[in-house]
Order: sequence, then C-alpha cells, then structure tokens
Amino acid sequence: MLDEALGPLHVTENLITLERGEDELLLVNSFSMRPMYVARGRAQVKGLLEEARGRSLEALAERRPQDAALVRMLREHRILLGAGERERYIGEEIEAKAAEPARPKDKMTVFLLVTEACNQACIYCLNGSDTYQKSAPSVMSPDVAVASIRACLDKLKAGGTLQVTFFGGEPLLQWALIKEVIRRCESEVRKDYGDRKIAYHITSNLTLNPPDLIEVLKKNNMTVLSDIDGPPEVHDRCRPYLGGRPSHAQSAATIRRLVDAGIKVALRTTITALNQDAILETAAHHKALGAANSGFVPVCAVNSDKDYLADELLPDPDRIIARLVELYRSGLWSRDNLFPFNEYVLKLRPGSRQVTGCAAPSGSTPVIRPNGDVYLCIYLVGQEKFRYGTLSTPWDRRLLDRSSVSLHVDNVPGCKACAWRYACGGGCPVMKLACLDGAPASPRAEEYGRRINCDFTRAILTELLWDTATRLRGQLGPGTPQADGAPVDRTSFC
Amino acid sequence: MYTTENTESQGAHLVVEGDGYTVMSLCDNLSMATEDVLWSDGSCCACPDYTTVPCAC
Repeated sequence: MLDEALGPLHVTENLITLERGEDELLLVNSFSMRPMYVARGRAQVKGLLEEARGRSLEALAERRPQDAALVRMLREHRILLGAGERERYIGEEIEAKAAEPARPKDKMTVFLLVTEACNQACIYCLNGSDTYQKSAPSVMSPDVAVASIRACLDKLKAGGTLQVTFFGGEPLLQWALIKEVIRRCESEVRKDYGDRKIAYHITSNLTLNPPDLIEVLKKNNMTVLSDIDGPPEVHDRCRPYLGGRPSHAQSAATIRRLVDAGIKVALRTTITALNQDAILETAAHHKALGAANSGFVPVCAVNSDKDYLADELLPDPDRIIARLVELYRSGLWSRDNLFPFNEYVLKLRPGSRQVTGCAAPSGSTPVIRPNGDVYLCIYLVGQEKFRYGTLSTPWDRRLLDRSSVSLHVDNVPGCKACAWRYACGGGCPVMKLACLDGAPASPRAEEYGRRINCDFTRAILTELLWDTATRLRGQLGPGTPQADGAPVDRTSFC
Repeated sequence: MYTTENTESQGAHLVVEGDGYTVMSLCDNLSMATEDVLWSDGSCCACPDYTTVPCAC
C-alpha cells in the first residue's frame, strides 16, 4: 500500500524519460524499475507531472479529479514520489551493508583456470603476458581444483547451485585434468555436499577435439560457450593460432560435431574494428553452425597487464549499436537467444535494482589460478591487490567489501547523478579499476570504455523498452494506437 | 552486498485511458523475461558482462 500522507510530491530523481515519434513517452524510475508507457498523450502526462511538483496528493486530486487513475498509476510506478520516499543509498548505509557478515549464497560460479596456456593468439587477448603464465607450463592440479570447488560449496546455502566453469587459457589443453576433476566431484564431493548442486560449463575455442568430448559433455550435462568472430576470413584475422595459422575450420568442425550430437553450443563474437560491420553476417554464420545462442560483446579495451588495446582495433560504439539494433529487429535470433538483449532485458524486470556492474564484488564469481590463488575478475588475475584468497588460507572478504563500496553506483563519480545507474549498475568496472590503479593514460580507450558502459547499455535497454511497448500496444488491438515501427529517433536521456 | 536487488513484487497489468492519453504498465510484459540463457551464470547477482568478456583465447 502506498502511504497517502506523503507531503509535497516530486518527480523521482531517477527518472528515465524516452520519447518516440510525436506522442509516445516511456517513463522509468530506475530505482524501482517499473516501466510505464504513454502510447498517446505525452504532453498531457508531462503536464500533469509538472503540475504535481510541490503539491500534496490531495491538492493534486482536487485540481485534476479526472486524472485520478493516472495519478495513481504514476504513484504505483514510482514516478511521482512523496517527500520521504527512498530514491538512493547513502554512504553509511552502503558501508554498513558491505560490512555485514557474508550470507550463504543461492548460486555461485567458480572460474577454474585449468591452464593459463593457449594455442591461439587472439588479437584482443585479455590475458597479459606479464600477469598470465601464457607460455609457461601452468597447469592446475586436481587437488587445487577440488579444494577450490569445496571452498565455494561451503559458501552456498542448502539447495544452492555451484557452476564450475572450466576456463583458461584454453581448457581443452588440459582435458584429462577436467575429466579427473569432474570424476572426483561426482564420486567424492557430491557425497559431502548432498544438499547442494554442481553444474559444469566449459568456455573453449574448440580447436581441440578429443575423441570422448561428446560423451563427457553429455554425461555431465555440460554447457559450452565458444567464440566465432565472423565468417572464416574474419574469424581467422581475429583468432588465429599461435604462429598465425587460421583456426576457423577446426573450431567450426568441432562445433558441428557437438551440435550434431545434440549438445547446445553458445557462440560469441568479440567485436573489434575488424568485424564491427559484419555483425549481421556473423549472426547468420552462428545460426548456420547450429548455435543455440548468439552473442556479441564489445571488446574490453584493457587487458590484465593494464595494457590498452591498440586504437586501430577499437570499434566505433555507434556502429556497434546500429548493427546490433538492426540484428535484433531482423528477428534472425529471438530475444531469448541473442546477447546482449537476452541478458539486458533481465535488468528491466520489475523491482530489479543493480548497484554494481557485475557480480565480482559480491564474491559470487571467484577466479582460481592454477596455484589456487583467488582473484576478483579474469581481467585482474596476476594483480596482487585484486587477489583475495589462496589455496591454504581462508578467503579474505575485505577486498570484496571495499570493492562493493567503491563500485556502488551511488559512490562512482560518473554514475551517482545518472538516472540510469540502477539499471546498469555502472557497467563493467575493469576500465575504472585500471584507471584508478595507475594504468598509463589512453584517452581513446578510456572514452571507448565509457561509451560502451554508458551509451551502449542505454541503447540496448532503450531498444528493449520500446520493443516491449510496441508488443504490448499490438496485443491490445484496435482502440489503441498502432505501432509505427519507426526507429527510436527522438530519444532523450534525462 | 548484492549486485541486484529485487525490491518489490510485480504490479497488475494496467491500462489507463483518459481524455487525450492512453497509458500502460510494462511490468507484466517485462516480468516474463526468463533467465534461461546459456551464458548467464544464473547468479543471484546478475552478471551479464562478466561472463561474456572475450575470454576463450
């Protein structure tokens, strides 16, 4: 129930206002995330909001009795707020919450770097040669893997799920190890954690094709994510083998083999300047390969060594946005199977509120090196200040707590006045951390990172909001204005 | 500290027609979004960016 003794009304400070065409309006308070669509009558609704400012609910009702239902809707969607209604976090509150004892988690994902070596030489590799042991024989032992898995299971509540992600480097270089880890989990670990679930996932370039790959993947219900950066000629420029040989043919052969065996393979493309104009073509290529999902991720402009990507490889955020929106509208992939749309729509679920850009500060996604060291993020592996655990010592939450505070959207200087901040959580913090941590300046990379975190995210969320509005209007049939299918050309971000 | 917080239950489907305006809630439609995506870590802390970084090289 909404409290009717509100005092003077005001429009939420977290108001996202989108406009389309001549008369449409979308209003969202990102703190409460209850989007509201004005199919017609934009000026009337904006006029009502202006009139409401500073008036009591009762006074507004007296002036606009015919609009009582609209006022109620604006209240229910948290667009119109009373004097004491909550709209942000304050510093003490953020710090107090971070300092609370860690609660058992529902879900975790542990990233096991089973090796830091790789057989490819991607042009945008996140693994810096100083911080990752890319050429050394870095191999995780089964004991380290199992101990790390147990450490995560200890942090789960009964009924919770741990996703064990085999990661690298290229994890299939250590296929025998992966199988041994799974065997021990199934034969030993499950007995000790019978009330918790373990799921397995592998992120691999799939250039290796061990004979029992399908059997093991199927037996253990493993999910698979691989990378195809475009049709062969594009992919081979982006993701060659070490030494420069093309890799697409081998990856594609393994993907087809898995797909033919009924295994779902998600395919991802890292967008750089080399493939930014081939997004539609690449999405079609993913489909032709039999992928279950297709994803497009703008390249991260900094690696684990805090080296910036060469300027000539940085894509243009505007072109990425245009191509992705074009792809989304083409219907080639459904929303549920196309990243970023399938995951960004989750940010718009009513009541969602994102206070950091990713799960890393919560400790839900630890990254384990071959020696058992625990890091906040794969981009931060090898940087001592982001290591928060070892194999032999309890994981130290202080880094997580500090990160939770410093990366909270109400603490980040560029975010805390932005109305979108609770929708995006501030975006990927890697660039922010690199800048804070004394990485040499790269103005173009920094601007690119800012635009991906801000403009890209806003554009995807905007597209999703308008698409939802258009679908709803279509469902309501005659009597409501029909969708014009016009591009989102008069969008403003307040 | 949780990255994503669920703050309230969803509202009912709602359309308000007035003199000169039609206003609709998108809450019902957006609450149908599912988490059944392969590259989500499914975490209670939504982590779309982290699990999709270019990482397989």
